[in-house]
Amino acid sequence: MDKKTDLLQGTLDLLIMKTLQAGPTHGWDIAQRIRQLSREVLSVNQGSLYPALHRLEAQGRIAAEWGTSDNNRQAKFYKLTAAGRRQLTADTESWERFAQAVSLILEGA
Amino acid sequence: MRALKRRVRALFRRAEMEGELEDELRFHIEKEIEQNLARGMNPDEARRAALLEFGGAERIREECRDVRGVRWLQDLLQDLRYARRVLTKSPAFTLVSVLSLALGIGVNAAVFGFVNAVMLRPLPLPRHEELVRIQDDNLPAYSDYIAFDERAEVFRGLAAYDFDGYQLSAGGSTARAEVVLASGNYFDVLGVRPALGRTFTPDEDGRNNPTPVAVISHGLWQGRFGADPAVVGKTFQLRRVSFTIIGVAPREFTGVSLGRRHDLWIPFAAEALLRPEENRLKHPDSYQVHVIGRLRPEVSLAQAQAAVEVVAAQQDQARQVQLFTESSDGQSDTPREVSRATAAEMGTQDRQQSWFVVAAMLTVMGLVLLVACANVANLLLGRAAERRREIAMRLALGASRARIVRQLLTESLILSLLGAAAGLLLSRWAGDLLLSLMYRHSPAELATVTLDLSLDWRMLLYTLLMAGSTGVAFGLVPALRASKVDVISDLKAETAVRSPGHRRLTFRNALVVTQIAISTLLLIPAGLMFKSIRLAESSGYGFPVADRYVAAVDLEALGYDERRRRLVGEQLLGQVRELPGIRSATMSHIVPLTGGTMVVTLEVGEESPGQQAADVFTENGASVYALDQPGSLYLNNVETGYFETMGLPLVAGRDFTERDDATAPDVVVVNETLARRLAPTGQALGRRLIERDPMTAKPKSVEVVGVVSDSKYIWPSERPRYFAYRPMRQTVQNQFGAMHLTVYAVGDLATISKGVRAAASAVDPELSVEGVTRLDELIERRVGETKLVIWAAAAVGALALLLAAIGLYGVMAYSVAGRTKELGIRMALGAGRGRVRRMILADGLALAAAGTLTGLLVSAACMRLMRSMLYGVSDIDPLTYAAVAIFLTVVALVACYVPARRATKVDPMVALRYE
Repeated sequence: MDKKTDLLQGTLDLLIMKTLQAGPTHGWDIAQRIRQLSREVLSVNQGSLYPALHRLEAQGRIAAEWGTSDNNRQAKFYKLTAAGRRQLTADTESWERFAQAVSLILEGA
Repeated sequence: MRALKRRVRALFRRAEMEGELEDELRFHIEKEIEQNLARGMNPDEARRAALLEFGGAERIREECRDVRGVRWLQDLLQDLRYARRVLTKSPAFTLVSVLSLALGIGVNAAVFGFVNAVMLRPLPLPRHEELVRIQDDNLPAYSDYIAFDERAEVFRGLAAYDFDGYQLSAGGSTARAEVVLASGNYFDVLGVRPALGRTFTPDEDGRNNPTPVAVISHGLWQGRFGADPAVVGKTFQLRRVSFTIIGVAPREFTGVSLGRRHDLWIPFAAEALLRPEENRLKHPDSYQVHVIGRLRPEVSLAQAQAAVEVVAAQQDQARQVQLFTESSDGQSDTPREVSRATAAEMGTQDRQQSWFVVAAMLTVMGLVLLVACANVANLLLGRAAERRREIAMRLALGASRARIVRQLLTESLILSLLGAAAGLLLSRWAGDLLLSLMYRHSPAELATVTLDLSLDWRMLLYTLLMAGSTGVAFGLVPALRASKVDVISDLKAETAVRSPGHRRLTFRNALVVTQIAISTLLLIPAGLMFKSIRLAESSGYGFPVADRYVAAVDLEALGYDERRRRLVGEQLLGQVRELPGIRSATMSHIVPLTGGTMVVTLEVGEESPGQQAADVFTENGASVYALDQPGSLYLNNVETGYFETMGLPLVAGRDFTERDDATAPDVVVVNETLARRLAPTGQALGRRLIERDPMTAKPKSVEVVGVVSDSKYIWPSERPRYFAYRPMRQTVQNQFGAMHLTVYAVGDLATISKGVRAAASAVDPELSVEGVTRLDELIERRVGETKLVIWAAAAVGALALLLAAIGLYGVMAYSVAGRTKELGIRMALGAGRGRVRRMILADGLALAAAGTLTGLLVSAACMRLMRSMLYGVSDIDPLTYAAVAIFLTVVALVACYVPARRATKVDPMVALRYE
C-alpha cells in the first residue's frame, strides 16, 4: 500500500486543516484551493486527498456533514473541529521550526 | 467517543457509508468535468480527462475504507460470505475435507477428553480450587495424616479415607457394598451437604467411641432402600453389626475417586466394630490412607507444600528413632507432595507414567491428524489448480496477494472449525463407546463411574486450538501456491484444467507418500500385538482352563474371628469336595489371569540377604509387568489341592498338606523359574527364604518344599516370572479380603453353581457365594481388555489408511483429469485400454509402494520400543510386515482403480478437440 504523494508525509494533513480554517468546504474545493494558494506549485492527488480526509475525520480533527453546494448538488462538507484547531496550531508551529532549521542548513552550507 | 461511534456506524451501516463515499467521489468527478467544460473541452473529452486525472477509483475507495479501522472485520465478513459460497458450491470437497478433519480432530479430542477427566478436571465440589491431595509414590500412613492434620496449619481441614467392601444385609437380602472408611470431617472438608439427614460429626470418628453410623450414597438409597424418604434412622448389617443410616449423600456426589463405586461411608473408627481383634487403625504407622484437604484462603500451593514438608520431616525423624529400636529397615520417607485434587488418586510416579502414556497416545493421534491434514491440503492444492482463473481474475482486479491468501486461509479455517465441531461430537461418541466397551461385562458399574467426559472450557480450548493450528497447517501452503499465479497466462487459458507437469505434482505426491507411510507405521504395531496375543492364547497359560469354575467367597463378611473363619472355610471346602461331579476343589486368594495380584517381600535366606535379594528378583529383559522393586515377588496363598485343581504339575518336592498349619514350620512352593534362580544348578528344595510381614515387616524364615511348573499369572503374554505359593493355613487372612473357591468339575455351570451354593448355606446360612463363573470366561474378560486396546489401535491405523486412500484417490483422479490430452494422444496412437489402465495403476502403486516402504523402514526402527510388550513375536516380524504391506497395496489398488477406469474412458477425439 505505497502512497505516492507529491507532498512530504504529514504536510497534506496540515494543508487540509489550514484550508478548512477559512470555513467548511468539500473535497474538490480543498484541492482547488491548495493548488491556487500555492500558485499551482502543489497539486493534491485525489488518491491521497480522500483517504487523508477520512483519516482526519476518523481522528476527530475534522467533522463532515452533507450540505448543498453551489448549483444545488449534495456534497460532503468538511469543517475543522476544536481538536483540529488545536492540532493545526501545534502543527503549524512545528512545521515552521522545521522549515527554519532546514533553510538554516541550506543557507549555511 | 466520536471515533467509537464512527466505527460502530462503519461496521453496522456499511452500505450507507459505502454509498456516501460513492456520492462524495462522484461529486468530485462531476466538479472536475464541470471545470473541464468551462475550459472549453467537449463533454466526452471533459469526462475522459476528469476520470484520467482522478486515477484508480477503486484504490481510493480501498484506502478510505482502510482508514475506517474496521477494515479487517469487514474483510472477514466478506471472506466468510465468500467462503460459504465457495464451500457450498462444491459439497463433495467440503464433505470429504470436513469428515477427514472430524476424524483426525475427533480421535485427538477423545484422548484429550479422557486426559481431562482423569488428570485435569477439578473435582465437582464447591471451591474446588482449594482442594489438594497429599501423596507421592506412597500414601501417607494414618499417623502421618493425624500429624498433618494437627500440625500443618495451612489447611482449613484435612480428611482421610480408604476403601473396603462388605456384605450388606438389609431387609432379608445380602449383597456386596463398596464402603468408604472416612475421617469424621470428610464431608465437611469436601463441602458436601447431605440430600437427607446429616453427615458425620467428628466425635463419631473418635478412637474410644466407635459409632456404627453410615451415610449412604444416592444410588444405594434409590436401589436398596427404594428411595424411602424415612430412610434416616433405619439400620442395616455389615458383618452382623448394625449400622444406623444418618444421611443420604446428594445424587451428584459420587466420591472423589476415579472409577470407583461408593455405596456408603462409615467413620474410620467403626472398623474396630467390624474387625474387633485386628483392625487397621491398630497399625497407624503402616495403615496407608488417602488424604485430601482444603487449603485456607490465601494459602498458595507452594506454602502448603512447605508446611507439609516440615511436618513430614518430623515424621521421618520420629520414625527413624522407632525403627532403630525395632531394628527394621522399612521405608522412612513420609509422603509430602501436595497437588491439586483431581478425580485420579495418582502418586508422583503414576502421574509421570500417565503423562508418558498420554504423550505417546497424543503422538499417535497427532499422526492421524497429520494424515487428515495432508488429505485436506491435497484436496486444496487440487482445487487451487482449478481456481487459478478465478484467483488470476481477482488479482487483476486489484486484490493484493495478501488479501487472496487471507481469503483462502479463511476458507481452510472454516473447514477446520467445521471439522472440529464434528470432531467434538465424534469424540463424545467415541468416549462413550470406549467406556461401554470397557464395562461391557458389568454395565451396571458404568453408571457409577466417576469419569466426567462432558464438554468444559478445557476441551473447548483444546479443540479450538487444534482447529486453528490445523487450519493454518493444511491451508497455508496451498494458499501461498494458489495466490502465486501468472495473471496473463492464467487468464488467457481457456480451460481451467491445464496439463500438470510432474513437477507440479511432486508436493502432492510427497503428501500421499507421507500419508501412506504414517498409516503403515500405525498398522504395524496393531498387527504385531494381534499376532502376539494370538500366540499367547494358542500357546496356553501353563494350566488347563476347561472344566474349572471359580466363585468369590467372602468369609470375612460373616464377622467371625479368625479361628472360626478358618473353620468355616475348611468346612465349605470339605462339603464342596463331596459334591457329585467335583474332581477336586481348592481355595486361594487370587486366581491367575483374572486380575488379582498379591505382592510380598521375600528374600533369599542364607548368603548376604540384602544384596542377594536385589539381585534375585530383578527381572532380566525388563518386562513392563515386571515388578522392579528388589526383593518383592508375586505370591498366592492357597489351600490344599490347589495344584491338582489348577492342573499344575509338581516338578519336585511335595504339595501342601493339611499339616502345614500355623503350628508347623513355614513352607513355600516355588515355580520353576524361581527355583532355577535360587539354585541355578542344584536343588532348590530345602533352600530358605525370608518373608517379611507386610504390616509389621517382621522377618520369618520359610523353607522351599516343592517346585511346580511355570504358568502365566497376571497376563497371558507375560514372560516367565518368579512366583511362590504359601499355604493358606500359615498366613494371616484378614489382610486379603475375599477368597476364591475354584473347583475342577464335570457338569454344567447351573448344576455346579447350585451345588456350591447349597454347600455354602449348609455350612452357614449367612455365607453367600457370589457368581460361579467359568475360569475361561473370567480370563477372556481380562484378555478382552487387551484385545480392546489392540482393536482400538487397529481402528486408528485403519482410519489413517482410509484417509490416505482418499488422498491417493484424489491425487490419481486429478492426475488423470490433467492428462486427458496426453491419454487421448496415446490412445489415438494405438495404446489399448488395458495398457492405459495399467499405466495409471502403476503410477498409483508407485506412490503406494514408496509410502509403504518408507513406513516399513520407520516401523522397523521404532518397533524396538514395543519389544517388551510383544510375546513370541519379533519386533520386525516379516510376516506381519508383509501382511500390512499386502493390505496397503490392496487398498491402494482399490483407491486407484476408479481413476484408472476413468482414464480408459477417455475418447481420443474429444480429448484432442478439447484445446
